[in-house]
Parts: sequence; C-alpha cells; structure tokens
Amino acid sequence: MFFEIRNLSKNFGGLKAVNEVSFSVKKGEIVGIIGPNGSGKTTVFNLVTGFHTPDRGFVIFKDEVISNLRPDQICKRGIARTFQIPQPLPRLSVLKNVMVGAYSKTSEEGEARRKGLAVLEFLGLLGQKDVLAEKLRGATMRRLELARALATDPEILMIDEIAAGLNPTESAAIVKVIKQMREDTGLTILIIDHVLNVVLNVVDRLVVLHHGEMIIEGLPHEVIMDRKVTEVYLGEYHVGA
Amino acid sequence: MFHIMKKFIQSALQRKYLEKRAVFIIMLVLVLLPLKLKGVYFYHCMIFTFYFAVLGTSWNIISGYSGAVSLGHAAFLSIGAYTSTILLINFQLTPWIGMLIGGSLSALSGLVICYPATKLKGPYFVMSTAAFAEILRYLTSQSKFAGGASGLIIPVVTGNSLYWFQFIEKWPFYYIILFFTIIVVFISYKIENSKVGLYLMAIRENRGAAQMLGVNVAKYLRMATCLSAFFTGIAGTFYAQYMVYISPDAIMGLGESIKIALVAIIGGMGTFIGPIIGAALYFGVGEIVRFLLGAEISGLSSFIYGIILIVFILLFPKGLVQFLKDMGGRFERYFIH
Amino acid sequence: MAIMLLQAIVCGLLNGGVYALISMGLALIFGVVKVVNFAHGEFLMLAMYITYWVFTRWGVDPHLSLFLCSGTLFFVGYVTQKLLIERTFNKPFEGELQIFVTVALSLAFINGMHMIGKADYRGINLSYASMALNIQSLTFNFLKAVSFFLALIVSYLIYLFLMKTDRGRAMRAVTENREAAALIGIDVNKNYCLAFGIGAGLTGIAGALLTPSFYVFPGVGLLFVLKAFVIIVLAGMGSVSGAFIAALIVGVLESLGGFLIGAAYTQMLIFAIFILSMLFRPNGLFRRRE
Repeated sequence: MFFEIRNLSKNFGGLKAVNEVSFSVKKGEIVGIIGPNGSGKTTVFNLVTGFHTPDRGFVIFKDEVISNLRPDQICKRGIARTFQIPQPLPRLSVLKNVMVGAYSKTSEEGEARRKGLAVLEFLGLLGQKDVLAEKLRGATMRRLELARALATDPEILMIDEIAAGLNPTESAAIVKVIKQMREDTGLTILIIDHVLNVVLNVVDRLVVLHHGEMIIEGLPHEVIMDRKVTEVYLGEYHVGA
Repeated sequence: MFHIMKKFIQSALQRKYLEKRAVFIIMLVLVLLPLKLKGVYFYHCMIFTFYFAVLGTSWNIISGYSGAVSLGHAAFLSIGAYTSTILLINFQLTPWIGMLIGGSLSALSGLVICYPATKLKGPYFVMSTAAFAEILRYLTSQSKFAGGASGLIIPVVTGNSLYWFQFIEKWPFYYIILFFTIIVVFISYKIENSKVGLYLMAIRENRGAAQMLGVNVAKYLRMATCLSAFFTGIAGTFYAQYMVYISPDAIMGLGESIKIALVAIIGGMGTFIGPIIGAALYFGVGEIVRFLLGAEISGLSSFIYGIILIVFILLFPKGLVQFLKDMGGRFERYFIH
Repeated sequence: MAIMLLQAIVCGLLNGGVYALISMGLALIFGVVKVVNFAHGEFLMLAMYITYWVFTRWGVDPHLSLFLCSGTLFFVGYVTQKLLIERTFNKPFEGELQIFVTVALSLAFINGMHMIGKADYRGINLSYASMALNIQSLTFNFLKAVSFFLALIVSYLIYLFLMKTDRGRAMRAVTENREAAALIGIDVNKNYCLAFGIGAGLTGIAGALLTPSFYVFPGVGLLFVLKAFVIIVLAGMGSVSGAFIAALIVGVLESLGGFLIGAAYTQMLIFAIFILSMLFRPNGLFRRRE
C-alpha cells in the first residue's frame, strides 16, 4: 500500500477533531479532501505530517508506520505540505526559502541552489528569487509555498487550501500548475480545498469529511451529487469561477 | 571623463574582487599594526576589541542566526575561564589544554540550555538564560573550591612563557586573540553560507515551517548552542590569562552577558561581520567619548554610551552592517544603472 | 521551632508586599504592551534615590514621598513608552529590539546615577525604623508592616481600577487581544503609555517603601528585577493578580529558605524553580483557564 490512513483519530480536549478516518491513496493519484469548515481536514494533514500525534489509528506510507515521527523525519521520507495560511521564512529571500526545502535531500550548496532555481523556474518565480519573502503578494506567496514543498523532492504533496482568496484567473493558474506537476513527475497529491473548479477539475477521487468523520468517498461527480454531501454542504460551499 | 571614472568604480565594486581584496588588506594591516604603533593602552584597546569580537561572533551563532537570544552567555565565558584556571592552580595543567577542556565543558553546559531553547519562546527563553547564568554565579560565589566571591588569581611565573600562557608584554596576547578572532569569524562565515546556517536562519524565521521542510530543529539548535558555548568558553580562558584575575562579579554578571549581546546587536545580528563592527564600535565610541571629555567623570562615558546605544538601536534596527548593505545596494544600483 | 517558622512566614509575607508592587508593575507592562522591560529595576532605583534626597534635604518621610515617586515614575514610564518603545513597533527584529532598548535604557540610568550620585551606598535612618510590634509571640518590624499594608491598599486600588473602571477594562481588553481592541475603537497606543506609566508608578511606590530598609546605590535595581521576572513568570506573564499572589509566595519562600538553607541557596532554588516552571507550566502556576 503506497499511502494509507487507518482509523485515524484525534481529540482536542473533548472535541473529536478527527474520528476514525480511513482511506488509501494510490501512487500517482490526486485525491481531494473536502468538507465544511471545522470538519477536520487540516487536522488530518497535521496528523500525517507529524505536527500532532494521533490518539488512535495509523498513517502508513510505503509500508512504514509514520504516525509517530517528527515532521522533519516525515519530510525526509518524501511527504511535503503547504499551509493554509502561508508560512514563509519572512526575512529570507525567495531563493533561500526554497533552498531550505532543497537541503532536505542534499547537503551541498551548489546542488541545493540548482534545485531551488529549477523549482522557482517551474513556478514562474525566478524573477523574484532575491525578493524577501515577507514582501510577496498573496498569490505569489502561495506559489512560494508550493515551490518550497516541491523543492523537498516529495513523493506525496499535500496542498492545504491553496486557492482560498484567489481570483478566478489566479486559481485557474494554480490548477494548471498542479496538473503540470502530476504530468511531469507523477507526483501523488492530496488536496484540501473549497473552491469548486480546483477540486473538480483536478482530482481523481474525492473524500468528504464532516465533524471529523469521513462520510463518503468516490469519484468527484458522483460524490458531489450525493445527497449526504449536499445536505452537509448547503450554504457552506462556494463556487469558484 | 566621468564615464571612465564610472567604469572604474563599477569594476572595483565587482563583488568578488572587492571582498577578497578588502579582507586581505585588512588582515595585513592588523597583523602589521603592532610594528608601527606602540603603547600599552593601544594594545589593551585592540585586545579587548578582538576579545569582544570573538564573544559577539560566538553569541551570534545561536542568537543571531537561530534567533534564540541569550542573555546568559557570561555563564559559558566563566565556565571556560574557571575550568582552565582551576586546572592550572590544582594540577598545573597548561592553560592551552585547560582552554580546550573549558571550552568543551561550556559546550556541554550549552546542551543544558538547549532544552529550554526548543521549548520556550522569545522572552521566556531569554529570561531562562539569564536565570541560568545567575544560578551559576551564586553557585560560584558560594563555592570555596572556585574561590568564592573573591575570585581566583591566576598563578604567575616570572618572564614570558608560552606554555603557561603568560606574557609580560601585550603583543603576544594581541596576536593570540587576533588569531582566535580570525578563526571564529571564518567559521561563522562558513556557517552563514552553508546548509547549517540556512537551517539556523530558517529556525529563527519560522520553526514550524522549517520542520516541515526537513529541519531537525532540536539537533541544529544543539549544534549551534554547543558551538557558540565552546568558543565563548575559549575566550573565557583567554580573559583569565590576560587579566590574571577572575571573579563572579567580574565575568559572571548579567552585565557581562548584556555586553556580549550588545556587541553583536549594534553591529548586526545575523551577519558574520556584524559583531566585529559592533566590537569596534563599542570600543571606538567608548574611546571617543573618553577622549572628548578629557578627564573621566565617573560613569559619564558609560552614560553617554547607553544613550548612544538607544539612539543607535532605534536608528539602525537591523544593525550597522545591514544598514550599510542597504546603503551599498542603493549606491551600487546608481552606478550600474 | 514552629514559632520560628511562623515568624519566617510572616516576615516573608511582609517582604512579599513590596515585591508585589514591583511585580504587578512589570506584569502590567508585559501584559498590556507585551514588552519585557529590563529597565524596571532602574525605575525602582530612581524612586529610591528620589526618596533618599527628599528625605535628606527636606526631611520628608518616605511614606509621604511615595506620592512624589509614583507621580514621577508614572511620567518616566509614560515617556519611555511614547518616545522609545513606540519607535520599535513594526520594525524588523522588533522583539529583540525592544529587549535591547530597555536594556540600553537600564544601562543609561545606572550609569547616569553613577555620575550624579557616585557609587556610594546611601541609607536613610528613620527614627521609628527599628520599632517592633509584638502580637502573640510574633515580632513584626513596624516599618515592614506599614509597607505591607500600604502595598495591600495600592494593590486593591489597582484591582479596582482594572476591574471596575472603563479605562481599566480597556486596558484589559488590549491585554487580551490587541487587534480586536483597536477595532472597537480603543486607543491602543494611549493604553500602552498608561500601562507603562502605571507600571512604573507602582514600582515607584515600592521604591519609596524600600528606601528606609535598603541601601541605595546605582545597581540596586538589578537585585530586584530578576526576582520580579521570576514572579511574573510563575504567575503567568501578564496576570496582575497572579503577580500579587506569586510575589507573596516568593517572599515567603525566600524567608523560609533563608531560614532553612541559607540566603544564597535560596536564590538558586528560586531561579531553578523559575526555569522549571517555564518549562513545565509555561502559562504560570495559576492559570485557571487554558
């Protein structure tokens, strides 16, 4: 099994943030995780990447249980993520930000720099490589988030609400980038988002969370037509583009 | 005509040449300086400037690069100084070896500081370092073994002795501390441009993001603290041998830790050259004030110094080096456009 | 033995009263402005010098000059915030900058005093300084008892101010959530200045009360400032009422410790507790809610 979440559960002081969530991901798939705000999506990401330890359940990646590893160990094993609210390294340049990611797989300055520049080029950020990260605009900062994560040479990329707050042109551009990533490198992608066109146009499969539980999974068009989902989402879903 | 000048300045500003040439020239000057200038007072100033440059640069490794501001570095300084001195007094061990042992002990105690560094944020960590140094100070002033509050006097032999790390004239001390400075600054420079340095800076900027990018925060903080403590400890031995007297009041107080940090801050936290400039400023300003005011009114120079510091910190929040870099950037753009 | 312990506890409580004033001041500054004020000890020192001079020149009793001290220090604190700390907001390395500005300020004050007053230790002798009260078999130093009660009164006044007045509530709002407070129209900067002023003023009162029983010299503030930091960390930084209680506890601990294991080891113990509490109870010992 390439990647599997099994019975994953996490409580925060009485609140069941994630409750017995299980699903698996094949190599090269793009899986979308959707659900109303507070349904536990980001918590699942945090559990997978090691920011929290699960109370119950496992995260299994390439036949290894990674649920109790530190975030940096998980990164080295090939899982990278972006944050819902971008977390740049503010006073470092765009290139340096990306090089931090690149250094996870090499110790040589030249190599890290090359990798960094390559990733920046892919995301169209090469022109801003020396700009301090704190000076970037919202959409550009999101691209930096992606670039940094890509620089770690991941096998699984986890993208957390990257299209939030972007206008239709910007979110279309992001969709294009995500598709390109999968085409070029066969990257497996887990993506959380609310914006409909991102979700529908890009994912192979959808998982829907509600109150920390998985209520359905399947092909995108089937899932969003399902009555359970529309009930849960009524009034919460906003359509992009 | 102007065009030719512009070309000349443009080529002189070419990064690679400028830096390497400048460094070479400066080093040459520093090494040859004692031949030209004499005077005990001059030596004393230069020695202390370099001494603080070493301290500031070491401090910078953990506090400037990694952002874990420490106001307890006097502890590391003293561990180094006291270790070599106690070994010298009780076992007649040459201070050179004592120095290495002292530095290592400092590095080990740095590990003690490390646990709070990974757990505590901002002001909490700062205070824990100050508290740590204070605990050490109390322990030392209570301990008969370490000479208590009256301190320890370094036993003196007649004449110069490399083995006993003692010299009658100042110039050997000058070269020794210059040597240390070059080493520490070089190491700092190497760190700054390497993976280690970038990782430390990432830790400073955003620990959570750094972790997610593969940085083992605890490991790198440990590395930084130990390195920082080690060199500070070595400087401590130098101090002991130079001043021939150490005591809790002289080197273990909060004031000492603050001086160490200040040197790096005013020069520029987070750059390898900042602390050197800061040390030069620290003594430069002190000397200028003393010079201008003639007879020294007790405390006036320090008072003015405090005022200047405040003004300085507010004017150049990133430190002098960054300010100059920014200025230099504008300067360069003018000539290159 | 039991009586001696009780005596030590009472003595500690009395000392704690003055510590409370100093720490509440620091807690207020940290809670509202979120700045670690390393110059706090020097506020104390200034007040002590003022009290000393006013007493030696004009024979004014410290318990009267505490009004002068609190007023002067309020002004000093207010100005510090307005002219210095405000300048550090929204600059790079803001947190570190603030630490170093207050540290530099502390240096300037200490050395300034050195210049003006020389490093001599001064003291004042009040005629009734060694007067003692006897209740049951316990002996109280009259002066300390008076200080304690004054500290209690002032603390209660501060409590009333923070809890019952509009201005106090505004200040607490700023402590809880700076942005939200600004959004509902509270002048955040003015509250900062006020908080700094009141914090300094409280320390001024403490200084006046301490002068009869302590030597006055430029570095005297340093003796108290670290202790005050320990207290506010134990209390949960920013908690003024917590600081009050923690100060009394530290006073008692100090006194008991001095009696049982000696003064120096007590200091070490206190610092050790300090570090441990930061590691294991970072929100302070008294935080009722998470």
